[in-house]
Amino acid sequence: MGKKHQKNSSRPSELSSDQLERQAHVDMAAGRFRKARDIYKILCKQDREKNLPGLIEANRRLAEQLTENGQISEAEQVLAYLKTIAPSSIMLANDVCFALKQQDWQTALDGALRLRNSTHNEHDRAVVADALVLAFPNLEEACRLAVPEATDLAAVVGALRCVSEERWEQAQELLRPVPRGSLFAAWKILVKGIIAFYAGNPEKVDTLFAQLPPYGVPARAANALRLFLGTDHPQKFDEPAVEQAAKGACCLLNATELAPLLLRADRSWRAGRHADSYKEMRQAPGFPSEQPDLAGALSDFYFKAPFAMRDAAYEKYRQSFARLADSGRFKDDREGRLTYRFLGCAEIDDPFSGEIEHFWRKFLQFCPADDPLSGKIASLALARVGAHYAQREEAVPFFFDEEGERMRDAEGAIRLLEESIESDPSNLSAYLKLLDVYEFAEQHNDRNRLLDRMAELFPKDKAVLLRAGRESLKRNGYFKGIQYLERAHSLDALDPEVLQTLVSAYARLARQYYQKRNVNKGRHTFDLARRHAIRDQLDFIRGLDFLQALQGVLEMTFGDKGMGLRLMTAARECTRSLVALLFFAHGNSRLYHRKQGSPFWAELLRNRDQVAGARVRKEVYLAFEYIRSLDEALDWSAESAFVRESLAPLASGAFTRDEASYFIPLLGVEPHFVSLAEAINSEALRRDPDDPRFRLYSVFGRTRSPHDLDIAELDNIYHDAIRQGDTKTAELARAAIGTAENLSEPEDEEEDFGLPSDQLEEMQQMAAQMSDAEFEEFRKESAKFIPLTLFDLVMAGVRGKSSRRSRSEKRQRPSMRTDEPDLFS
Amino acid sequence: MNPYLILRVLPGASDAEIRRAYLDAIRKFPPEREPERFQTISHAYEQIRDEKSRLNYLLFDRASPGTTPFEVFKKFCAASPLEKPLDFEAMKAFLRSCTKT
Repeated sequence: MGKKHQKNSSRPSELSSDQLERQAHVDMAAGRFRKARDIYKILCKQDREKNLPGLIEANRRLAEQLTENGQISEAEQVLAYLKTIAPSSIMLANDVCFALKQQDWQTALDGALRLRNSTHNEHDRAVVADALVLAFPNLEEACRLAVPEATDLAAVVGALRCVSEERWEQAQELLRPVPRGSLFAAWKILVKGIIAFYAGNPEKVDTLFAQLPPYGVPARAANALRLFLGTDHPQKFDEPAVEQAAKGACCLLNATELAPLLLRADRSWRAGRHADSYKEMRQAPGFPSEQPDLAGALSDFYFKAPFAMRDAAYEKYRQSFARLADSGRFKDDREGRLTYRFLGCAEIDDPFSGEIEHFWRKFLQFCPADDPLSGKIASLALARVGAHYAQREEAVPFFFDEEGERMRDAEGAIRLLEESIESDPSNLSAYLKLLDVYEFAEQHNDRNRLLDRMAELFPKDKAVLLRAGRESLKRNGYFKGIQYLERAHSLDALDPEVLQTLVSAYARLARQYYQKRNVNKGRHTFDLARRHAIRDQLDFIRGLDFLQALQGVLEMTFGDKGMGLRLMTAARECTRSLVALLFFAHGNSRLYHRKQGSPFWAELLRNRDQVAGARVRKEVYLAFEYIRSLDEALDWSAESAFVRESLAPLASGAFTRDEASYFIPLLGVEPHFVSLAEAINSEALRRDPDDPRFRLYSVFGRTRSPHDLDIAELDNIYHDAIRQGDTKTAELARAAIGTAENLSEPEDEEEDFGLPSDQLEEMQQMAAQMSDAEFEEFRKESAKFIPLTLFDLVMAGVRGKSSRRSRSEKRQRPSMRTDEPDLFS
Repeated sequence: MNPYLILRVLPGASDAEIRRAYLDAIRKFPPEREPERFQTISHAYEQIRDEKSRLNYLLFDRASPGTTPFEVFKKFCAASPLEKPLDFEAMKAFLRSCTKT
């Protein structure tokens, strides 16, 4: 049994007097005055002299509480009892307190004047000071009062007036004569604190307010002001003090009416009754708000906090708003807008959402039509829904994926994105997303048209121009492509991506000119390309050596052979990798001669022994990859053999770990090089049998299907890699484990849903052949023997992705259902 | 917390007004003296610096300003220091409201 429960189960009469006293203190601090009073009654029976003050105080506070709650007759009963136990001065103090709470300043003032002479109790003296100040007598009235500290009172009231008129120095002057022991000393401290507060000196405010006694109006006013300092003082107070500070702060913010609602709403929220909390707050005038005021901050909270909630609480809260949306009983358009915005945002995370479009369209309906930004708002909202539809479905990780990517709803995405662009033709991100979707859906004509339009609309957007240039090149529109790329280049002359594409475009155009025997134009185009050439880097597109070699090959094939040889000589002189250059020239030459061998092949073979170091090996392999990519259909077996022989020394040990790590995964996926990759891996493992990287490559090498992956072995490799700090291998191993585990889980389609599989298959076959209307009828009939949620799940794969459930059905998922009554009814 | 509140600009403020408010705020809270405050101000500025950011904030922002209504209230108070004292009548009302527990 828990401790708390034990405590509750004990009756007060069973506790010791120490325990009772402690409990009474706790209850007093928590504002449970009735309970505290009952305990003090018991304690008084044991030791009246000691506990009577406690009993009196508990009764006083209880009477105050009852009065504030409007339970006047009960308060009167408590006061009647209090009169029987409390001395007359306490009763007088009590009367003053009541008058203050009831905002009866004259009665409070009269009572305070009488109490002033009959008490020395600090608490009661504070009550007297409060009553005198809060009557706000003017100077004459104050001086006429029959109290020795009349001038102090006048000084405090005068200083408060000066503060409100920003006459800081005068306020200080007025306060100076008020002595420390004055009845109004606490008020003097408060006013000085207020002056420091507005002077922007929080340290001084803290120091001054720390000197205040914990009771009385100055302390309460100070607590309210402290909230604006951003310090955490209120957390140190008991709950009633925090609430009082909040009320005071609301008063300072000119939002007095919010305070009681805020406090109730806060209690509900902390108790986990989030929708109830909103319901409380909703009663406040001006709530919800979209302004940067207190109501706006609280509205922000209520419509954004759910995104940080745990699943069950979030779903319950979301459902309460979904019900409000269904009922349409919004407090005003603002609430409608914020509700649909929240529901729309909530759907963005749900890959199976069928309502995202509905919610955002409803949101737009609640936006003011005369807002000059309404087009842009609509465009952004629709583009977001379009992007949601355009999300690619997750592919199986790792390199075994065979299914290819799918888009959630390409048709829906196109529809929404087109509408978004229509709403705001300057929404660039909508164009870019639409471009992706057209690309995915292979709507090339639409894509090209859109690109041309984008280039017109966004003539100064580098990304658009680059994209337009690339797409033009894809469809062999070299002139147009180069135009776009030159414009992009003029916007950012250093962008390497633009330069690479531009040079590539010139080279391709030059090839075309040479092939059409338009040699002069070809030469001119190469001149243009060479403006952006680079030296001292292996770059098959922008490298000056490779550009010269390419032109040389084209001259030798289609133009002036002598010029071609001169260009090749110039290329040889400036290259950093002769073998790669020869490979490049050989490959390009073969593209036009379509036969084995080339003028460079013999030279290439002669220079094979230059392929000695790691750098050259890598360059040769890259050159091979590049030339093969120019025409995959050509027979590159001789070149493959050349590369294999060049890389063969790797298998006999002349390599570093990094080099082997680079080549094995590359070679391992090439049928021509698999045996070489295996040999290199074996050699690496011979050197270090525990190296997790090569053990992992070995696993991949011998695994023919992801189903054959050995999870235990992968797990060992993963942990060894982690131990050795080889994060790359660890990541690869983890991805492989993930793939293997995913594949080992039974697929959804194989679930029998608790029904005989033949019956399920029969239902699915029937459904597949039905029209929509027939299917709806079938669904209704099926509800007699199978729950509709199950039916929809079974039919999901047969009837496409669209759910047959209505919105309200979808919301009432069995596991999510709440038994709470409709909060907004 | 609401970026408009942090920078003390109205939702209809122009780019220039927002930038001016941002520069004023970081001058008041430079990074070397108030690094956290500076970060908050910079983040707020990024959220509303131009029309596109402002609309994105309006539509899609999901960052809750706190974990409970009272915490939001406290943060709101801390973010909106009272620059001018209440007039005398309002001051009286405030102090008198402090008699209630």
